[in-house]
Amino acid sequence: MNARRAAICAAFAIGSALLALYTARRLEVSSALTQFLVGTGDATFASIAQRVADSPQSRTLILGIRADDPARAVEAARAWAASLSRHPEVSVVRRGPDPDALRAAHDLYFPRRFLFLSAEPERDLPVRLSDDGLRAAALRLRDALAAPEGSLVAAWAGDDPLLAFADRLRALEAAGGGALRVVDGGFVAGDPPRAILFVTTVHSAFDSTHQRPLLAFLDESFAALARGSSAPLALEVSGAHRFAVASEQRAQEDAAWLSAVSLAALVICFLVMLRSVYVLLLTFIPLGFGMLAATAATLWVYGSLHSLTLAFGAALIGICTDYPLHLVCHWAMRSAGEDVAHVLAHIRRPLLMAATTTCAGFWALGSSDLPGIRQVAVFATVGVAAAAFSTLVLIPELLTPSIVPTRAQHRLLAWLRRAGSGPHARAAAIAATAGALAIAAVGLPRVRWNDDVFALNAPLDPARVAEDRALREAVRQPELGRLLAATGPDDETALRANDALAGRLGALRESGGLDGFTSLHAWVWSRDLQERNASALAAQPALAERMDRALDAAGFRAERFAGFAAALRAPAPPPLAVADLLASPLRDAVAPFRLELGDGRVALLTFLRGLRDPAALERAIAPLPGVRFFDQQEFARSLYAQYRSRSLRLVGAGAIAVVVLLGLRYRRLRPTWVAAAPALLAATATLALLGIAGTPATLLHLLGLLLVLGLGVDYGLFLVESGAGEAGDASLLSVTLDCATTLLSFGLLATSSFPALRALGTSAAIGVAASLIFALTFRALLAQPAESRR
Amino acid sequence: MLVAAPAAAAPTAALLDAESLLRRFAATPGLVARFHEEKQLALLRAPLVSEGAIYFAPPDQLARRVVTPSPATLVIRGDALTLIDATGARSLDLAQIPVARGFVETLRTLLTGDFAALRAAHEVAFRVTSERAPRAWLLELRPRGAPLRGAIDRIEVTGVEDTIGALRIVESSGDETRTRFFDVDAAHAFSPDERARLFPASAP
Repeated sequence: MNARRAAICAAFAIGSALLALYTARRLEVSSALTQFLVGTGDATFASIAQRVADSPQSRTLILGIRADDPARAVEAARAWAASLSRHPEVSVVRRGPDPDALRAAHDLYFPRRFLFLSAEPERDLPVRLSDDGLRAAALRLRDALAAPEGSLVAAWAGDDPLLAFADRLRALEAAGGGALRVVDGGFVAGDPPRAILFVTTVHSAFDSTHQRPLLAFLDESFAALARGSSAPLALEVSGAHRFAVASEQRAQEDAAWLSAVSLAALVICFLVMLRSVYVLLLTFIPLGFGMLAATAATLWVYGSLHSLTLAFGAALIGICTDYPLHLVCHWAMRSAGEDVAHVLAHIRRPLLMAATTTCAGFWALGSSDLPGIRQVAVFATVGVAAAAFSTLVLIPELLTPSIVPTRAQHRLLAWLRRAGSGPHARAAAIAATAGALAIAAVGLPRVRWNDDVFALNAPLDPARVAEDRALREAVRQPELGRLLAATGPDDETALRANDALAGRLGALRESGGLDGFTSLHAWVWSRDLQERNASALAAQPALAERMDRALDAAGFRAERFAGFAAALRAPAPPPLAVADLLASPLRDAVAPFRLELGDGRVALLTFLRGLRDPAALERAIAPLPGVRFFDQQEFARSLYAQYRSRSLRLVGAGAIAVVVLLGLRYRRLRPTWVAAAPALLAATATLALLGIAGTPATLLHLLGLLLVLGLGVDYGLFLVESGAGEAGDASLLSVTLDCATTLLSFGLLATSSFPALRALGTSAAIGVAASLIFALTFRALLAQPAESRR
Repeated sequence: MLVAAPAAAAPTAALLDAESLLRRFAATPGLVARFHEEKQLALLRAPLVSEGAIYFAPPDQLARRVVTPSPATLVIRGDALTLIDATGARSLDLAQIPVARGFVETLRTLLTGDFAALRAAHEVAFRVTSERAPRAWLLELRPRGAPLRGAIDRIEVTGVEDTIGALRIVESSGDETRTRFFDVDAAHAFSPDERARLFPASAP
């Protein structure tokens, strides 16, 4: 190895090592969709979406154990809970009511029992506390004392003949949906009954790195539990964790299989065409260097990398396989005595042009107001530039004299020359253009975009979906995907909005527009509402005396209710605040309802069950300031729709920039057309074919079209720059080989079971193949007398 | 009277103690009886009176239907307790209602004849209060542990020969509940339809 070569190889090795070190130390990958796709106008929803996605409710698995007897199931759940709680990924296991909860509820609510009498105190309390109302209250107290819970009621009745505290406890119980029963201290729900465990994980349900081992542990430990049980036990599981892990596992299995097939096919292709696997390795070096440089640069600019940037950017950098392949083909087809420097001199300009036009196309994305698109632009531009740089500087030092044309290459070349020449070549070029335009005219108006991101995942196992749904219905788990947010600059403002919202939702439930809802309103009201209750109570004349008369008439010993009179005389206690609940053993029940938004505001969430009339809900909340309805799936869909439509416009702008660059380079219509048209026509025709086939287009199809545009321009450009002769032959070979390798890598994705990968592969395969066909066809428009390279 | 009898009458000279009594109760195939209950509370000048019927299907299904003053049904299946009244149906945690728990567990333990369980949960005192036939007896139970011990002072079960006549629960607060049983069918075989109707599996 000569000194120059050694120096260059060493420089790249050291540079790569430094980039790798920097990346390893700074690498931070985020997966929050809202960080990637949210512009400045969606901050509230984005903040709520992010927090709900990471909330304890989202991180909670529901486990249902069935046995021949609920008591056996509860006993099994008790034993299992102990072992589950020791797993490092498990944050909390709840198997029954918190024994401290009732005491905490008494301590917080009993002194304030009269502050929660009515959500409309000015209307209700004058009636409820009238003489007739007090007589009815006394009779109600008698019935309550006769009931099984009478002993509990009797303990409080002397201070609370109105049963205000008992009503509060009922409201708290109803807040949980009322689906959970308690058997021997453990939760039971559903019919057939299941013992229920709520297991909250430390990390997100979608963090498969942590969830996979936990799910494996669940299966193993339950199997051990079932083996040791005298009665058969069956397990049901609900939670996003299983679906996320299963989805990722399928994606990995799919990717592994496709990668293996693709790699094998590439090796065979290179062995046949170039008789060398070494060349295949050479083509990976610029890709690897490009990825490394792109990652490091993006981390330096943004501080973190989004997983979507990695995925999209890596796919876009895949365009760069044609740079080293172009160099290798020209080296293989070199004239006798021609050295690397000569070959490089001929391909340097077209290669730089190709990189420049590709970067220009990506750079247009950088003007987007969506942070994720800007990040992709930086990643892809740096990656392409680094790949081109390494192709021009490093790869030439690694080329060997043993790389020569093979018989297969000669045969392929002969066929390509025949296909692209002859008296009908021009007519074919015109027909190809007309055909592409006709397809576009028919198909483009029929293109429908599907922005449902969930449709890009592989279909879920129907049995697991049914099990998940049945268990969630058994415990009446609220839907996390659709909720209401009452926002305000502080807790009191948000609580006032929440109070009004609860009233409207109650009316909607009564009218059948909604099955139910879970709200912080069951736990705490605004200070204003509590104080209004206190005022309405204090405004009642001689309430203690009138209550005594009513109690006496109902057969009570009125003297036993002196505590009630004393409570009326005492100053009203301070209203209950959210902070009081958060500082108590009731914190875990209350915390999921309250979010602190990034701008200092507070959002109080209400979760819905069985929303049947969304229009009625919208009408109900319209007059309420600070209250918004949030549909997570619809929100994600709109984010993707924005991303897709803006990307489409920016891609169009990028394409125009590329055409302008080519025009400036060639200053003549024909070479500009030959260089630009294959990519533009192929991308347009591919999209149109989707429309004709009735296949909804997705974001991943758009990504594939970006690939097509990048590669298509490279094909046209390489052919135009090389002209005819040996250089032209080398370019013919390189673009054909690159098309083959692209079909064997991205094109194979079209066979994936994953809709996302299938979309990318389909558009890439069709588009890249069409680009090559158009490029070879239009090359005839540049036909010149054959000339040698020299 | 709650009758525990199998078909053959026990000889009047047979030993009468707690353990033998419970063995005879255990032979009950199923039981239906009416009850009259009075709750004497310190808050009230006169007792609260309720009347209705109880149903027991071994080993662990108990239903108590109140007809007056306000219709309500309490159903126990195993350890699950459901209350159905005018406001709807809901489940209750017996652990939170010691008096109800005392009533349910005492009756169920007696009728299933589980003397070991009875003695484990209570200090048991049994005496014959009238030696002349038919012999009357008193079984006094004092809870050993929480949560019953703090809420219930004692439970007194009285009867004649193989029959339970009354149940009295005296709370630590001084309040007490007396339940008398009559019109008893102690050999009732519940049909599947009756079981489904009287002991529903869960709150609707």
